[in-house]
Amino acid sequence: MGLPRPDELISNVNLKKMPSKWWMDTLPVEFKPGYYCYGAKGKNLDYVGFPNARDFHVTEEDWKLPEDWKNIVLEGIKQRLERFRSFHVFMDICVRCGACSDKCHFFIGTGDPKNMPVLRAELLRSVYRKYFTAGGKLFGRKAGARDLDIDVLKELWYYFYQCTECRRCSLFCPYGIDTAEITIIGRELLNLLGLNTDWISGPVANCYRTGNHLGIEPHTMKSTLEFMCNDIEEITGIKIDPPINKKGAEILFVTPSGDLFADPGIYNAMGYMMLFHEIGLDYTWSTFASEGGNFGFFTSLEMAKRLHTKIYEEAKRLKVKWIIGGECGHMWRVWHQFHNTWYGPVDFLEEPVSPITGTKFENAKSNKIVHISEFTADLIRHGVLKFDKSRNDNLIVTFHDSCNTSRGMGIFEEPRYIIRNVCNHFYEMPDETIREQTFCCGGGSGLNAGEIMELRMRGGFPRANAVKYVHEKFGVNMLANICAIDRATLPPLMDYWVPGVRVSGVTELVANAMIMKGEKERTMNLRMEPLPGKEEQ
Amino acid sequence: MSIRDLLSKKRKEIVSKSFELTIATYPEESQSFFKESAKQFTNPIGYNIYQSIEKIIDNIIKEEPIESFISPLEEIVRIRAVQDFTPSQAIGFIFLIKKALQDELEKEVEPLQLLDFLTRVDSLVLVAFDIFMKYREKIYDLKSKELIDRTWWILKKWNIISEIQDKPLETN
Repeated sequence: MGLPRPDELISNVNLKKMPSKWWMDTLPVEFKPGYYCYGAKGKNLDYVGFPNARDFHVTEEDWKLPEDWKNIVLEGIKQRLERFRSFHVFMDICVRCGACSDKCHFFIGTGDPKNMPVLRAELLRSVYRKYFTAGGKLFGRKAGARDLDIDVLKELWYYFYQCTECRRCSLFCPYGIDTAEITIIGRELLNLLGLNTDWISGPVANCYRTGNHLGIEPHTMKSTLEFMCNDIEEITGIKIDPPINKKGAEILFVTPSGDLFADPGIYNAMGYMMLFHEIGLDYTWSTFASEGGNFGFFTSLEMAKRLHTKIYEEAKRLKVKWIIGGECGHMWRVWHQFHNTWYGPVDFLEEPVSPITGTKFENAKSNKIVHISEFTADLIRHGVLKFDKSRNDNLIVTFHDSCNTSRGMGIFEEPRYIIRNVCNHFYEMPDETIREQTFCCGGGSGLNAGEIMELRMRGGFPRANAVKYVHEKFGVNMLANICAIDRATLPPLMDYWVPGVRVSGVTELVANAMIMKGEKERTMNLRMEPLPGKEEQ
Repeated sequence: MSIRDLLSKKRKEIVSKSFELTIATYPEESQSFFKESAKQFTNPIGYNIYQSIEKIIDNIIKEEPIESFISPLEEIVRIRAVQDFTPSQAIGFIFLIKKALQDELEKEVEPLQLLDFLTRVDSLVLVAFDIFMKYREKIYDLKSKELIDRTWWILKKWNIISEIQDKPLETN
C-alpha cells in the first residue's frame, strides 16, 4: 500500500540518543504565527529617533536593513564590551555547565534547545567569539565561533524576543551570569537596526509623547480617575476627589498605566485611592509622570533613562518630598537597579518617612521611592487600618511573586503579610515555584502582545501548572500579584490552563476588606459583584 | 490469556514505551529533560504527559468508557496545541501509544482479536481531535477577549456605547 503507517507519518519521532545536527546548522529559523511579535512601525521608531525607522514585517524576506548593518552590529558589540564590564565577563566566562538550561520557563514549556538560557546566550557569544577573540578568529567553528549573517541575525531576533528577562536562570548560574542582561544587550543591538517589535516600540513612542504607554492624555487620565471615584462612591458611599498635579503635595504617586485602563488593574487603582483617602495622605497623581512601567527598558538603556526622567523631573516640578510607587514589575527593576547609576542618589527629595506611622524607610534612603506594599504593610503593622476580612471570604488566594520585585529586589514578605491580614484563605504554591524561584507569567519584558498568545501560553505553563496544583488541592480561585504585566497576562493564562482562577492586585484585596470611616454598608466588591453573604440583596 | 490480563501484566512496559515514544516527538536535545517525569513543578510537561499516559493505559485496561479518556487526553493535547507541532503531530501521539500496545501484544494475541482491539484505540484520535480544536479555538477566543477587555471598559466609561442596566429583581 502506498499509504504510510500513522506512526511513520508523525515524521518527527526521533529515538536517537545524540542530536543529529549541531545547533549552528539548524538555520534559518521558521517564523510561525503565534510565536513571534509583529515588527515595529516606522512612525513609532521615528518619533523617538530610533535608527532605521521604517515599517518592518518579520515574515518578509527583506527586513529593509541598512547596507552596512553587519558593521553596525559589530561596532555596537564593541562599544558595549568596552562600556559594560559585566557584558564582557558574561561573554567570556560561561563554561556551559548547563545549570541554567532547564530553568527557563520557555525551555520548560517548549523543549526548544535554543530556549535554554545557555544556548540563547551562545547565539550571541558565537558571534562575539568570531570577531572579538583570538581563538574564534583562528579556529572558527571549532572554537564555537560563527559568522554574523542575515540568518544568524534573524535567529538572534527570534530568540531574544523569546526571553522575558525574568532572571530565573541567573539564580542557578554558579558564575552569576545574568542571562537577562545578555538579552538586554542583544535587544539593544537589534534596536540599532530598527529591529524592534510593534508591542514595545508603540508604547515607547506613546510614553515619550504623553507620559504613559497607552497614550492617555491629561484630560483623559483625570476623567478616568473621576469615573473610578464615581464607582467608589457607589460601592462605599464615600466621595473621593483625586488630587492631580498638586504642587507641594508631600508624596508623588506613580503606577503603571495598565492600572488606569485595563481590567483587573483598574480595581487596584481604585484601591490605591481608597487607601490614601482613608489615611488622609497628602499625595498627588501626575498626568505627566503617568506611567510607572518603562518599555524603553526593552529597547536601550538610553531610552529607559529618557522615559524614566519624567518621574524624576515631575517630582522636582511638583516639589514633593518623596515618591510611592504602585504595583508594577520592571518599573521597580529600573528604580532599584538602574536609577542610581543614571542619576546618582536623588538629592532634591527627602528620605521617605511615613507621615502616618513615622516609619523611616531606610531601604529607600537613596532612591526616595517606597513600594506600595512596603507602605501598606507598615500601616497594617501599626494597626492604622481596620479590616473586615470576611468580605474576601469568597476568595481562596495564592500569591504569584513577580520576577522583578522578587528576584530583582527581594520583596517577598510584605505582600504575603498584607494578604494574610485582609484574607482568611491564603495558600502558597510549591516552594520551587515561588519567591526567588518564581516562574514568569510568560509575558514580561514586552512579550504580552496578543499575536504571541501561543508563546505566552507555553511560556506561562510552569506558572500555571503550580497554580493548578493549589487550585485542585485547596480550591484556590484568586491569583494575587503585584505587577501590572501579571494582571494583563495571567487572566488568559488562567483561562487556558486553570479555568476558575481569577487574577487581582494585592491593593484590590486591601480595599475590599478595609473598613473606611463613614462608609455605608457595603454589599459589593470593587468589581461590583455581591460580597459574600450579600448575594440576595 | 485475555487481552485485559495481558495488558495488566505488561502495563509497566506499555506505559514506559508510550511515554518514551511521545517524548521522542520533542527536539532531540530536550528529550532527556522531559523524561524526568517525577519533577511535577520543574518539569510540568514530562510530568503531565507521563501521568496522563498512565491514566490512558489504566483506562484501557479497566475497559472504562470513552468519556473517562477525555481528561487525560486533554492534559496532553492542550500542551501540544501550543507547541511547535502541526495539528496532526499534536494528536498523533495516540498512534504511538497504539504502536506500544501492538508491540507488546502482537505475539500473544490472535490477529483478529488484536485488530478489533487496536481499532477501538483509534477512537481516541477522534476524541483528541475534538480536544485539539477546542483549545485552538480557545487561543483565538483569548486573543479576542483580551482585545475586548482592553477596550470595552473605555467605550462604556466614555458613554460611547450605552448598555441596558440590570434590573433589580422584584421580590414579593
